[in-house]
Amino acid sequence: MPLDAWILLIVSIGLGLGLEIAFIRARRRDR
Amino acid sequence: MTSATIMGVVVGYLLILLAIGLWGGRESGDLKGYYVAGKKLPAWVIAFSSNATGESAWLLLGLTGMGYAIGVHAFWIIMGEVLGVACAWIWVARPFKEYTDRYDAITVPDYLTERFRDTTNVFRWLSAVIVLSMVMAYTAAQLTASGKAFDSFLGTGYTAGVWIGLGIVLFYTTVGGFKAVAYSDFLQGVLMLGCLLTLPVVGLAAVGGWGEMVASLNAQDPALLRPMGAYGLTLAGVISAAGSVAIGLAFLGSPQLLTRFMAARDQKQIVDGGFWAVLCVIGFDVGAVFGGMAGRTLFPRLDDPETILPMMSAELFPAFFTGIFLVVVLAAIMSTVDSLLILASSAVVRDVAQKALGWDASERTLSLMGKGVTVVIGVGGLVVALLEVRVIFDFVLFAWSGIACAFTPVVLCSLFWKGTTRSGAIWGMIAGFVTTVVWVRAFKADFYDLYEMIPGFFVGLLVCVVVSLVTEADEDAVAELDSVRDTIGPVF
Repeated sequence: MPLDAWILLIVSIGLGLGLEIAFIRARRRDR
Repeated sequence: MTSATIMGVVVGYLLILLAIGLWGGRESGDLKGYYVAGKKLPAWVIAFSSNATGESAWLLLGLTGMGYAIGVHAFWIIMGEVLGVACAWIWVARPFKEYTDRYDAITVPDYLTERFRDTTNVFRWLSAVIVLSMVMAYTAAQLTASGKAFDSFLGTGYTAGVWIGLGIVLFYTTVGGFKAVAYSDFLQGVLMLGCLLTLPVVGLAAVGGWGEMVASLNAQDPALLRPMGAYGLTLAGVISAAGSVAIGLAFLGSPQLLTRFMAARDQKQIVDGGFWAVLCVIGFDVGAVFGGMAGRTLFPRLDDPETILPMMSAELFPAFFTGIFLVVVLAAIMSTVDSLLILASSAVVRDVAQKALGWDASERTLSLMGKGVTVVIGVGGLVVALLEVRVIFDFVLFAWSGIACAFTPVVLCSLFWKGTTRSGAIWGMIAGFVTTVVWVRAFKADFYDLYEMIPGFFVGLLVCVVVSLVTEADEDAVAELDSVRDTIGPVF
Protein backbone atom coordinates (compact mmCIF):
# COMPACT_ATOMS: atom_id res chain seq x y z
CA MET A 1 0.00 0.00 0.00
CA PRO A 2 1.42 3.46 -0.82
CA LEU A 3 2.92 5.58 1.96
CA ASP A 4 0.21 8.26 1.76
CA ALA A 5 -2.45 5.61 2.31
CA TRP A 6 -0.63 4.33 5.41
CA ILE A 7 -0.31 7.88 6.73
CA LEU A 8 -4.04 8.48 6.25
CA LEU A 9 -4.87 5.24 8.04
CA ILE A 10 -2.55 5.96 10.97
CA VAL A 11 -3.83 9.54 11.34
CA SER A 12 -7.45 8.34 11.08
CA ILE A 13 -7.00 5.96 13.98
CA GLY A 14 -4.34 7.84 15.92
CA LEU A 15 -6.09 11.20 16.27
CA GLY A 16 -9.15 9.88 18.05
CA LEU A 17 -7.32 7.22 20.02
CA GLY A 18 -4.60 9.67 21.09
CA LEU A 19 -7.17 12.18 22.34
CA GLU A 20 -8.97 9.47 24.30
CA ILE A 21 -5.77 8.19 25.92
CA ALA A 22 -4.73 11.74 26.87
CA PHE A 23 -8.18 12.29 28.38
CA ILE A 24 -8.05 9.12 30.48
CA ARG A 25 -4.53 9.92 31.71
CA ALA A 26 -5.68 13.42 32.74
CA ARG A 27 -8.71 12.03 34.59
CA ARG A 28 -6.61 9.44 36.45
CA ARG A 29 -4.13 12.13 37.40
CA ASP A 30 -6.94 14.22 38.89
CA ARG A 31 -8.52 11.37 40.87
CA MET B 1 -28.21 -29.48 6.61
CA THR B 2 -26.44 -26.21 5.84
CA SER B 3 -29.70 -24.31 5.95
CA ALA B 4 -30.67 -26.09 9.19
CA THR B 5 -27.37 -25.04 10.80
CA ILE B 6 -27.85 -21.41 9.81
CA MET B 7 -31.44 -21.53 10.98
CA GLY B 8 -30.31 -22.99 14.32
CA VAL B 9 -27.84 -20.15 14.90
CA VAL B 10 -30.44 -17.52 14.03
CA VAL B 11 -33.12 -19.05 16.22
CA GLY B 12 -30.64 -19.32 19.11
CA TYR B 13 -29.77 -15.64 18.77
CA LEU B 14 -33.41 -14.58 18.61
CA LEU B 15 -34.19 -16.62 21.74
CA ILE B 16 -31.37 -14.82 23.58
CA LEU B 17 -32.91 -11.47 22.60
CA LEU B 18 -36.30 -12.58 23.86
CA ALA B 19 -34.69 -13.64 27.16
CA ILE B 20 -32.99 -10.25 27.50
CA GLY B 21 -36.39 -8.63 26.94
CA LEU B 22 -37.97 -10.66 29.73
CA TRP B 23 -35.01 -9.96 32.04
CA GLY B 24 -35.15 -6.21 31.41
CA GLY B 25 -38.90 -6.11 31.96
CA ARG B 26 -38.58 -5.86 35.72
CA GLU B 27 -37.32 -2.29 35.42
CA SER B 28 -39.64 -0.99 32.74
CA GLY B 29 -42.61 -0.28 34.99
CA ASP B 30 -42.12 3.49 35.08
CA LEU B 31 -40.96 6.08 32.55
CA LYS B 32 -37.45 6.46 33.94
CA GLY B 33 -37.02 2.70 33.85
CA TYR B 34 -38.57 2.29 30.42
CA TYR B 35 -36.69 5.13 28.70
CA VAL B 36 -33.28 5.32 30.45
CA ALA B 37 -33.03 2.02 32.40
CA GLY B 38 -33.25 3.90 35.69
CA LYS B 39 -29.90 5.61 34.91
CA LYS B 40 -27.96 2.60 36.17
CA LEU B 41 -25.99 1.38 33.15
CA PRO B 42 -22.27 0.51 33.43
CA ALA B 43 -19.48 1.79 31.16
CA TRP B 44 -19.10 -1.29 28.96
CA VAL B 45 -22.82 -1.41 28.18
CA ILE B 46 -23.16 2.26 27.19
CA ALA B 47 -19.95 2.09 25.14
CA PHE B 48 -20.90 -0.87 22.95
CA SER B 49 -24.56 0.10 22.95
CA SER B 50 -23.92 3.61 21.63
CA ASN B 51 -21.67 2.32 18.85
CA ALA B 52 -24.05 -0.47 17.85
CA THR B 53 -26.91 2.05 17.73
CA GLY B 54 -24.86 4.59 15.78
CA GLU B 55 -23.78 2.19 13.08
CA SER B 56 -26.82 0.24 11.83
CA ALA B 57 -26.80 -2.08 8.82
CA TRP B 58 -24.85 0.59 6.96
CA LEU B 59 -21.67 -0.51 8.74
CA LEU B 60 -21.89 -4.13 7.65
CA LEU B 61 -23.35 -3.76 4.17
CA GLY B 62 -22.62 -0.12 3.28
CA LEU B 63 -19.11 0.37 4.67
CA THR B 64 -17.82 -3.03 3.54
CA GLY B 65 -19.30 -2.09 0.15
CA MET B 66 -17.38 1.19 0.23
CA GLY B 67 -14.13 -0.64 1.05
CA TYR B 68 -14.94 -2.79 -1.98
CA ALA B 69 -15.89 0.09 -4.29
CA ILE B 70 -13.45 2.88 -3.34
CA GLY B 71 -10.71 1.15 -1.29
CA VAL B 72 -8.37 3.45 0.62
CA HIS B 73 -10.59 6.51 0.02
CA ALA B 74 -12.94 4.97 2.63
CA PHE B 75 -10.26 5.63 5.30
CA TRP B 76 -11.72 9.16 5.52
CA ILE B 77 -14.86 7.60 6.99
CA ILE B 78 -12.72 5.88 9.62
CA MET B 79 -11.21 9.25 10.52
CA GLY B 80 -14.63 10.90 10.83
CA GLU B 81 -16.17 8.17 12.94
CA VAL B 82 -13.20 7.64 15.29
CA LEU B 83 -12.83 11.39 15.87
CA GLY B 84 -16.58 11.82 16.28
CA VAL B 85 -16.85 9.08 18.90
CA ALA B 86 -13.74 10.28 20.77
CA CYS B 87 -14.89 13.93 20.86
CA ALA B 88 -18.39 12.94 21.98
CA TRP B 89 -17.09 10.96 24.97
CA ILE B 90 -14.38 13.48 25.88
CA TRP B 91 -16.22 16.80 25.53
CA VAL B 92 -19.97 16.20 25.27
CA ALA B 93 -20.78 13.28 27.54
CA ARG B 94 -19.70 14.62 30.96
CA PRO B 95 -21.37 18.06 30.90
CA PHE B 96 -24.47 16.53 29.31
CA LYS B 97 -24.62 13.88 32.03
CA GLU B 98 -24.15 16.51 34.73
CA TYR B 99 -26.94 18.70 33.35
CA THR B 100 -29.39 15.86 32.84
CA ASP B 101 -28.77 14.50 36.35
CA ARG B 102 -29.43 17.95 37.82
CA TYR B 103 -32.71 18.19 35.88
CA ASP B 104 -33.60 14.51 36.38
CA ALA B 105 -34.10 14.59 32.60
CA ILE B 106 -34.88 11.39 30.73
CA THR B 107 -35.12 12.79 27.18
CA VAL B 108 -33.11 15.33 25.18
CA PRO B 109 -36.13 17.69 24.93
CA ASP B 110 -36.35 17.46 28.77
CA TYR B 111 -32.79 18.77 28.83
CA LEU B 112 -33.35 21.54 26.26
CA THR B 113 -36.53 22.70 28.00
CA GLU B 114 -34.81 23.03 31.37
CA ARG B 115 -31.55 24.37 29.98
CA PHE B 116 -33.32 27.27 28.24
CA ARG B 117 -36.00 27.77 30.93
CA ASP B 118 -38.67 27.18 28.31
CA THR B 119 -42.26 27.28 29.54
CA THR B 120 -43.99 26.91 26.17
CA ASN B 121 -42.93 23.30 25.43
CA VAL B 122 -41.72 24.37 22.01
CA PHE B 123 -38.65 22.11 22.25
CA ARG B 124 -40.86 19.15 23.02
CA TRP B 125 -43.21 19.69 20.05
CA LEU B 126 -40.38 20.49 17.67
CA SER B 127 -38.36 17.46 18.75
CA ALA B 128 -41.39 15.20 18.47
CA VAL B 129 -42.08 16.28 14.87
CA ILE B 130 -38.43 15.86 13.82
CA VAL B 131 -37.85 12.61 15.65
CA LEU B 132 -41.09 10.97 14.54
CA SER B 133 -40.67 11.82 10.86
CA MET B 134 -37.05 10.74 10.75
CA VAL B 135 -37.48 7.64 12.91
CA MET B 136 -40.26 6.38 10.68
CA ALA B 137 -37.99 6.66 7.61
CA TYR B 138 -34.98 5.19 9.39
CA THR B 139 -36.97 2.31 10.87
CA ALA B 140 -38.51 1.54 7.49
CA ALA B 141 -35.06 1.50 5.89
CA GLN B 142 -33.70 -0.83 8.57
CA LEU B 143 -36.71 -3.15 8.26
CA THR B 144 -36.13 -3.21 4.50
CA ALA B 145 -32.57 -4.33 5.24
CA SER B 146 -33.97 -6.96 7.61
CA GLY B 147 -36.23 -8.29 4.85
CA LYS B 148 -33.31 -8.47 2.44
CA ALA B 149 -31.02 -10.14 5.00
CA PHE B 150 -33.49 -12.89 5.94
CA ASP B 151 -34.33 -13.46 2.30
CA SER B 152 -30.73 -13.60 1.03
CA PHE B 153 -29.44 -15.87 3.82
CA LEU B 154 -32.47 -18.06 4.51
CA GLY B 155 -34.76 -17.56 1.52
CA THR B 156 -37.70 -16.54 3.71
CA GLY B 157 -38.97 -14.01 1.19
CA TYR B 158 -38.73 -10.25 1.68
CA THR B 159 -42.09 -9.70 3.39
CA ALA B 160 -41.62 -12.50 5.92
CA GLY B 161 -38.13 -11.17 6.69
CA VAL B 162 -39.52 -7.73 7.48
CA TRP B 163 -42.19 -9.20 9.76
CA ILE B 164 -39.77 -11.46 11.63
CA GLY B 165 -37.29 -8.63 12.20
CA LEU B 166 -39.90 -6.23 13.52
CA GLY B 167 -41.64 -8.87 15.65
CA ILE B 168 -38.50 -9.72 17.59
CA VAL B 169 -37.46 -6.09 18.11
CA LEU B 170 -40.93 -5.07 19.26
CA PHE B 171 -41.06 -7.91 21.75
CA TYR B 172 -37.85 -7.22 23.59
CA THR B 173 -38.18 -3.43 23.33
CA THR B 174 -41.71 -3.20 24.68
CA VAL B 175 -41.26 -5.89 27.34
CA GLY B 176 -37.74 -4.99 28.46
CA GLY B 177 -37.58 -1.24 27.80
CA PHE B 178 -34.30 0.64 27.54
CA LYS B 179 -32.48 -1.83 29.78
CA ALA B 180 -33.18 -4.63 27.32
CA VAL B 181 -32.35 -2.33 24.42
CA ALA B 182 -28.98 -1.36 25.92
CA TYR B 183 -27.93 -4.88 26.93
CA SER B 184 -29.09 -6.39 23.64
CA ASP B 185 -27.16 -3.62 21.87
CA PHE B 186 -24.11 -4.61 23.91
CA LEU B 187 -24.44 -8.21 22.77
CA GLN B 188 -25.04 -7.06 19.21
CA GLY B 189 -22.05 -4.70 19.32
CA VAL B 190 -19.75 -7.50 20.52
CA LEU B 191 -21.00 -9.81 17.75
CA MET B 192 -20.50 -7.10 15.14
CA LEU B 193 -16.99 -6.40 16.38
CA GLY B 194 -16.03 -10.08 16.40
CA CYS B 195 -17.22 -10.64 12.86
CA LEU B 196 -15.71 -7.46 11.46
CA LEU B 197 -12.32 -8.37 12.95
CA THR B 198 -12.56 -11.90 11.56
CA LEU B 199 -13.72 -10.95 8.06
CA PRO B 200 -10.51 -9.26 6.78
CA VAL B 201 -8.26 -11.86 8.42
CA VAL B 202 -10.05 -14.75 6.71
CA GLY B 203 -10.35 -12.72 3.52
CA LEU B 204 -6.61 -11.99 3.45
CA ALA B 205 -5.80 -15.63 4.12
CA ALA B 206 -8.00 -16.65 1.20
CA VAL B 207 -6.38 -14.05 -1.05
CA GLY B 208 -2.88 -15.32 -0.21
CA GLY B 209 -1.72 -12.47 2.04
CA TRP B 210 -1.39 -8.72 2.23
CA GLY B 211 0.95 -8.36 -0.73
CA GLU B 212 -1.39 -10.33 -2.96
CA MET B 213 -4.33 -8.17 -2.00
CA VAL B 214 -2.48 -4.91 -2.66
CA ALA B 215 -1.14 -6.19 -5.99
CA SER B 216 -4.59 -7.33 -7.07
CA LEU B 217 -6.24 -4.03 -6.13
CA ASN B 218 -3.51 -2.11 -7.93
CA ALA B 219 -4.00 -4.23 -11.04
CA GLN B 220 -7.79 -3.75 -10.97
CA ASP B 221 -7.64 0.01 -10.43
CA PRO B 222 -4.70 1.96 -8.95
CA ALA B 223 -7.20 4.52 -7.59
CA LEU B 224 -8.30 1.90 -5.04
CA LEU B 225 -5.02 2.50 -3.20
CA ARG B 226 -5.03 6.31 -3.33
CA PRO B 227 -6.32 8.41 -0.41
CA MET B 228 -8.17 10.74 -2.78
CA GLY B 229 -9.47 7.81 -4.83
CA ALA B 230 -10.52 8.17 -8.44
CA TYR B 231 -11.10 11.90 -7.95
CA GLY B 232 -7.44 12.72 -7.23
CA LEU B 233 -6.65 16.02 -5.54
CA THR B 234 -9.61 17.87 -7.07
CA LEU B 235 -12.53 19.82 -5.63
CA ALA B 236 -14.72 16.75 -6.01
CA GLY B 237 -12.12 14.65 -4.15
CA VAL B 238 -11.86 17.13 -1.28
CA ILE B 239 -15.65 17.37 -1.01
CA SER B 240 -15.95 13.60 -0.99
CA ALA B 241 -13.30 13.28 1.75
CA ALA B 242 -14.87 16.09 3.81
CA GLY B 243 -18.30 14.47 3.51
CA SER B 244 -16.85 11.20 4.77
CA VAL B 245 -15.24 12.88 7.78
CA ALA B 246 -18.50 14.76 8.48
CA ILE B 247 -20.30 11.45 9.15
CA GLY B 248 -18.66 11.66 12.59
CA LEU B 249 -20.43 14.94 13.47
CA ALA B 250 -23.59 13.02 14.21
CA PHE B 251 -21.94 11.29 17.18
CA LEU B 252 -21.70 14.65 18.95
CA GLY B 253 -25.38 15.33 19.45
CA SER B 254 -27.84 12.78 18.06
CA PRO B 255 -30.49 12.11 20.71
CA GLN B 256 -30.41 8.33 20.30
CA LEU B 257 -26.73 8.46 21.32
CA LEU B 258 -27.06 11.16 24.00
CA THR B 259 -29.62 8.92 25.71
CA ARG B 260 -26.75 6.51 26.49
CA PHE B 261 -24.89 9.22 28.39
CA MET B 262 -28.05 10.07 30.35
CA ALA B 263 -28.52 6.40 31.22
CA ALA B 264 -24.98 5.96 32.61
CA ARG B 265 -24.75 5.13 36.32
CA ASP B 266 -22.39 8.04 37.06
CA GLN B 267 -19.58 10.16 35.60
CA LYS B 268 -16.96 7.46 36.14
CA GLN B 269 -18.81 5.19 33.70
CA ILE B 270 -18.45 7.86 31.05
CA VAL B 271 -14.70 8.28 31.59
CA ASP B 272 -14.19 4.51 31.41
CA GLY B 273 -16.69 3.95 28.60
CA GLY B 274 -15.06 6.37 26.16
CA PHE B 275 -11.96 4.23 25.80
CA TRP B 276 -14.00 1.13 24.96
CA ALA B 277 -16.19 3.10 22.57
CA VAL B 278 -13.17 4.39 20.63
CA LEU B 279 -11.54 0.95 20.45
CA CYS B 280 -14.85 -0.52 19.35
CA VAL B 281 -15.43 1.96 16.52
CA ILE B 282 -11.84 1.49 15.30
CA GLY B 283 -12.44 -2.27 15.14
CA PHE B 284 -15.78 -1.78 13.40
CA ASP B 285 -14.53 0.56 10.71
CA VAL B 286 -11.07 -0.85 10.01
CA GLY B 287 -12.53 -4.37 9.85
CA ALA B 288 -15.32 -3.30 7.50
CA VAL B 289 -13.10 -1.36 5.08
CA PHE B 290 -10.33 -3.97 4.92
CA GLY B 291 -12.94 -6.72 4.70
CA GLY B 292 -14.37 -4.98 1.64
CA MET B 293 -10.89 -4.53 0.12
CA ALA B 294 -10.07 -8.22 0.60
CA GLY B 295 -13.47 -9.05 -0.88
CA ARG B 296 -12.70 -6.99 -3.97
CA THR B 297 -9.65 -9.14 -4.55
CA LEU B 298 -11.63 -12.36 -4.18
CA PHE B 299 -14.82 -11.35 -6.02
CA PRO B 300 -13.86 -8.49 -8.34
CA ARG B 301 -16.98 -8.32 -10.47
CA LEU B 302 -19.94 -7.97 -8.12
CA ASP B 303 -22.85 -5.94 -9.51
CA ASP B 304 -23.70 -4.60 -6.06
CA PRO B 305 -20.69 -3.89 -3.76
CA GLU B 306 -23.03 -3.99 -0.75
CA THR B 307 -23.45 -7.74 -1.17
CA ILE B 308 -19.77 -8.40 -0.47
CA LEU B 309 -20.23 -9.34 3.20
CA PRO B 310 -22.98 -11.94 2.55
CA MET B 311 -20.92 -13.22 -0.39
CA MET B 312 -17.74 -13.63 1.67
CA SER B 313 -19.57 -15.22 4.60
CA ALA B 314 -21.23 -17.76 2.29
CA GLU B 315 -18.10 -18.60 0.27
CA LEU B 316 -15.31 -18.47 2.90
CA PHE B 317 -16.93 -19.74 6.09
CA PRO B 318 -18.62 -22.99 7.16
CA ALA B 319 -22.41 -22.94 7.60
CA PHE B 320 -22.27 -22.22 11.33
CA PHE B 321 -20.32 -19.01 10.73
CA THR B 322 -22.55 -18.05 7.82
CA GLY B 323 -25.35 -18.21 10.38
CA ILE B 324 -23.29 -16.01 12.69
CA PHE B 325 -22.85 -13.45 9.90
CA LEU B 326 -26.61 -13.37 9.31
CA VAL B 327 -27.03 -12.83 13.03
CA VAL B 328 -24.55 -9.97 12.90
CA VAL B 329 -26.38 -8.24 10.05
CA LEU B 330 -29.61 -8.65 12.00
CA ALA B 331 -27.85 -7.40 15.12
CA ALA B 332 -26.79 -4.21 13.36
CA ILE B 333 -30.33 -3.65 12.12
CA MET B 334 -32.05 -4.45 15.40
CA SER B 335 -29.67 -2.44 17.57
CA THR B 336 -30.59 0.66 15.59
CA VAL B 337 -34.31 0.01 15.26
CA ASP B 338 -34.83 -0.70 18.97
CA SER B 339 -33.13 2.56 20.00
CA LEU B 340 -35.06 4.63 17.48
CA LEU B 341 -38.38 3.12 18.46
CA ILE B 342 -37.81 3.87 22.12
CA LEU B 343 -36.58 7.38 21.26
CA ALA B 344 -39.73 8.11 19.24
CA SER B 345 -41.91 6.61 21.96
CA SER B 346 -40.28 8.89 24.55
CA ALA B 347 -40.93 11.91 22.32
CA VAL B 348 -44.64 11.06 22.16
CA VAL B 349 -45.32 9.91 25.72
CA ARG B 350 -42.83 11.81 27.89
CA ASP B 351 -42.46 15.02 25.91
CA VAL B 352 -45.86 15.48 24.30
CA ALA B 353 -48.39 13.56 26.41
CA GLN B 354 -46.95 13.94 29.90
CA LYS B 355 -45.16 17.29 29.71
CA ALA B 356 -46.63 19.32 26.84
CA LEU B 357 -50.25 18.18 27.19
CA GLY B 358 -49.98 17.65 30.95
CA TRP B 359 -51.62 14.22 31.07
CA ASP B 360 -51.84 13.31 34.71
CA ALA B 361 -51.56 9.53 34.56
CA SER B 362 -49.66 7.18 36.87
CA GLU B 363 -46.10 6.21 35.97
CA ARG B 364 -47.29 2.68 35.27
CA THR B 365 -50.00 3.89 32.90
CA LEU B 366 -47.54 6.15 31.09
CA SER B 367 -45.06 3.28 30.81
CA LEU B 368 -47.78 1.08 29.27
CA MET B 369 -48.65 3.92 26.94
CA GLY B 370 -44.96 4.17 25.96
CA LYS B 371 -44.99 0.49 25.05
CA GLY B 372 -48.14 0.93 22.98
CA VAL B 373 -46.63 3.87 21.11
CA THR B 374 -43.48 1.83 20.45
CA VAL B 375 -45.63 -0.81 18.73
CA VAL B 376 -47.58 1.78 16.71
CA ILE B 377 -44.40 3.44 15.40
CA GLY B 378 -42.85 0.07 14.58
CA VAL B 379 -45.94 -0.92 12.60
CA GLY B 380 -45.79 2.45 10.78
CA GLY B 381 -42.21 1.67 9.74
CA LEU B 382 -43.35 -1.80 8.67
CA VAL B 383 -46.00 -0.37 6.36
CA VAL B 384 -43.45 1.92 4.70
CA ALA B 385 -40.98 -0.99 4.37
CA LEU B 386 -43.60 -3.24 2.80
CA LEU B 387 -44.32 -0.60 0.20
CA GLU B 388 -40.83 -1.63 -0.87
CA VAL B 389 -38.97 1.63 -0.57
CA ARG B 390 -35.79 -0.23 -1.39
CA VAL B 391 -33.19 2.54 -1.61
CA ILE B 392 -31.90 1.69 1.84
CA PHE B 393 -28.81 3.67 2.37
CA ASP B 394 -29.87 7.02 0.95
CA PHE B 395 -32.78 6.82 3.35
CA VAL B 396 -30.55 5.87 6.25
CA LEU B 397 -28.08 8.68 5.65
CA PHE B 398 -30.89 11.18 5.18
CA ALA B 399 -32.66 10.25 8.39
CA TRP B 400 -29.40 10.01 10.35
CA SER B 401 -28.29 13.44 9.18
CA GLY B 402 -31.74 15.01 9.61
CA ILE B 403 -31.89 14.15 13.32
CA ALA B 404 -28.20 14.93 13.79
CA CYS B 405 -28.36 18.39 12.17
CA ALA B 406 -31.45 19.35 14.15
CA PHE B 407 -29.91 18.52 17.53
CA THR B 408 -26.11 18.54 17.32
CA PRO B 409 -25.39 22.26 16.73
CA VAL B 410 -27.88 23.27 19.43
CA VAL B 411 -26.69 20.70 21.97
CA LEU B 412 -23.06 21.76 21.42
CA CYS B 413 -23.91 25.46 21.82
CA SER B 414 -25.98 24.75 24.92
CA LEU B 415 -23.10 22.87 26.55
CA PHE B 416 -20.24 25.21 25.66
CA TRP B 417 -21.49 28.74 24.97
CA LYS B 418 -23.05 30.89 27.66
CA GLY B 419 -24.54 33.20 25.07
CA THR B 420 -26.87 30.55 23.65
CA THR B 421 -30.49 31.65 24.02
CA ARG B 422 -33.83 29.90 23.83
CA SER B 423 -34.66 31.60 20.53
CA GLY B 424 -31.24 30.76 19.10
CA ALA B 425 -31.72 27.10 20.01
CA ILE B 426 -35.21 26.90 18.50
CA TRP B 427 -34.22 28.50 15.20
CA GLY B 428 -30.96 26.53 15.12
CA MET B 429 -32.92 23.27 15.35
CA ILE B 430 -35.32 24.32 12.61
CA ALA B 431 -32.53 25.60 10.34
CA GLY B 432 -30.37 22.49 10.75
CA PHE B 433 -33.26 20.16 9.98
CA VAL B 434 -34.72 22.14 7.07
CA THR B 435 -31.29 22.69 5.49
CA THR B 436 -30.64 18.94 5.52
CA VAL B 437 -33.91 18.14 3.77
CA VAL B 438 -33.64 21.00 1.25
CA TRP B 439 -30.00 20.19 0.49
CA VAL B 440 -30.79 16.57 -0.35
CA ARG B 441 -33.83 17.46 -2.43
CA ALA B 442 -32.56 20.53 -4.29
CA PHE B 443 -28.81 21.04 -4.18
CA LYS B 444 -26.86 17.88 -3.41
CA ALA B 445 -26.63 16.59 -6.97
CA ASP B 446 -25.29 19.92 -8.24
CA PHE B 447 -22.57 20.22 -5.59
CA TYR B 448 -20.51 17.06 -6.14
CA ASP B 449 -22.89 15.12 -3.87
CA LEU B 450 -21.68 17.06 -0.82
CA TYR B 451 -22.98 15.13 2.18
CA GLU B 452 -25.90 17.03 3.75
CA MET B 453 -24.38 16.81 7.23
CA ILE B 454 -21.98 19.63 6.31
CA PRO B 455 -24.49 22.29 5.21
CA GLY B 456 -27.07 21.09 7.74
CA PHE B 457 -24.69 21.24 10.69
CA PHE B 458 -23.06 24.56 9.81
CA VAL B 459 -26.29 26.36 8.88
CA GLY B 460 -27.87 25.13 12.13
CA LEU B 461 -24.82 26.32 14.06
CA LEU B 462 -24.72 29.68 12.29
CA VAL B 463 -28.42 30.38 12.84
CA CYS B 464 -28.19 29.34 16.50
CA VAL B 465 -25.25 31.71 17.05
CA VAL B 466 -26.66 34.67 15.09
CA VAL B 467 -30.10 34.53 16.70
CA SER B 468 -28.48 34.11 20.12
CA LEU B 469 -26.36 37.20 19.54
CA VAL B 470 -29.43 39.38 18.96
CA THR B 471 -31.38 37.95 21.90
CA GLU B 472 -30.55 37.78 25.59
CA ALA B 473 -29.48 34.68 27.47
CA ASP B 474 -31.16 33.81 30.77
CA GLU B 475 -28.92 34.87 33.70
CA ASP B 476 -29.67 31.75 35.73
CA ALA B 477 -28.76 29.57 32.78
CA VAL B 478 -25.44 31.39 32.36
CA ALA B 479 -24.60 30.92 36.06
CA GLU B 480 -25.62 27.29 35.79
CA LEU B 481 -23.22 26.67 32.90
CA ASP B 482 -20.37 28.00 35.07
CA SER B 483 -21.48 25.74 37.88
CA VAL B 484 -21.58 22.67 35.60
CA ARG B 485 -18.08 23.47 34.33
CA ASP B 486 -16.79 23.80 37.90
CA THR B 487 -18.34 20.48 38.85
CA ILE B 488 -16.90 18.42 36.01
CA GLY B 489 -13.51 20.17 35.97
CA PRO B 490 -11.11 20.54 33.04
CA VAL B 491 -10.96 18.04 30.18
CA PHE B 492 -7.19 17.61 30.12
